[in-house]
Amino acid sequence: MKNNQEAAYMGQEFLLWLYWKSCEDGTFSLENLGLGEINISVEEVIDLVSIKGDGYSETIKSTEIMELDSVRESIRLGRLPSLAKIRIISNHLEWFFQLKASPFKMSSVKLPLTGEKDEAEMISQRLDSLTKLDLIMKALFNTFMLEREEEGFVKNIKIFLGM
Amino acid sequence: MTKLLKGTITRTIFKPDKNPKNISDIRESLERFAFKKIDPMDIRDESTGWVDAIMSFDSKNYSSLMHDRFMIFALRTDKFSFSASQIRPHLEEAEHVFKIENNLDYIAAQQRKEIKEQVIKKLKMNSIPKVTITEVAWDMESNLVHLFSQSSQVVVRFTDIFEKTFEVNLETIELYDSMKQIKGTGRIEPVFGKIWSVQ
Repeated sequence: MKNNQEAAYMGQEFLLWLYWKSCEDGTFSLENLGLGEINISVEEVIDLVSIKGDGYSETIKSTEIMELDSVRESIRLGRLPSLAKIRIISNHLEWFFQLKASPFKMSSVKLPLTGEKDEAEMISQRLDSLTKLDLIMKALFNTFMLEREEEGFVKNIKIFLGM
Repeated sequence: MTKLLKGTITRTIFKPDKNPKNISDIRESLERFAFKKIDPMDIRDESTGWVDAIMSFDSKNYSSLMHDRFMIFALRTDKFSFSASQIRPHLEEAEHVFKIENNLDYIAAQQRKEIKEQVIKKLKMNSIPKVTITEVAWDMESNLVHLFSQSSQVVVRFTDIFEKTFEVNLETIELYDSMKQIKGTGRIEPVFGKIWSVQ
């Protein structure tokens, strides 16, 4: 699937799902993939873009994105996330990065601190943590894909948004 | 400092259609397309090639190549680039001097082209090229190549030289690739339409 339009709305849906999940509890068990329990949160910035064709877009910056009623209200009005900053914590390791819906890519990834002084070790650990992040994101995306096929998916989003 | 050691990271991930045979093969391939410094007198404005990921001046030894299951190296591009406004005063001066020295009112197009080339050569000799270094980490276990950039210019340049160097074809790996496995090749309809009226 290399269809840009399809990827763009899947990216927006995935960001919306991440926002929804992070507002609820943000904890996922990826034990079956050997990744343990992870916690995810949307933090600092979220860009919302209208899908109703009115050209509306806004950037909300706050230390408490998940608590802001204005974010949920804006989404209720049909403005979906096009970019957000995401924090993932897994076994005391922490990643912080930007996730964009179109192109659907992670960028500016802040990696967990290695605590290593040896350069070679530091490089190995940073590369390992990058591949671990890729595995986590792939697992999260797969979880989202499976969940969006479930019957109650749309109903549950509506309940979350208060619609 | 190399992004492999410090700082935030932005990547594009690729999957080559072949695995490299061994480390000496990789080393030989890198050497064939190693970075060569650009000479200001050279007609080319740009030079691209492979360097060591930690010591970006080294394009011979690649002493930092192996890191556990990763092969790391970097793509270096040196480029001389002058805007029209940078060239203009030097060109106008050179043309003015040429007219006086040769007692001319008009300079022929070919002559004007040559004067411009001389002006650009002088500018190159008095400046240093813009340097871009982009790290690459090749995971030998998963056979995935991580390019530490999403710049389209860098991606195009990298794809071209990587494919030539290792005689492989690269496919970009995306976050949403697993959709194919889950949903097959059929079109996936957005769920938005079931919640909002979408234009």
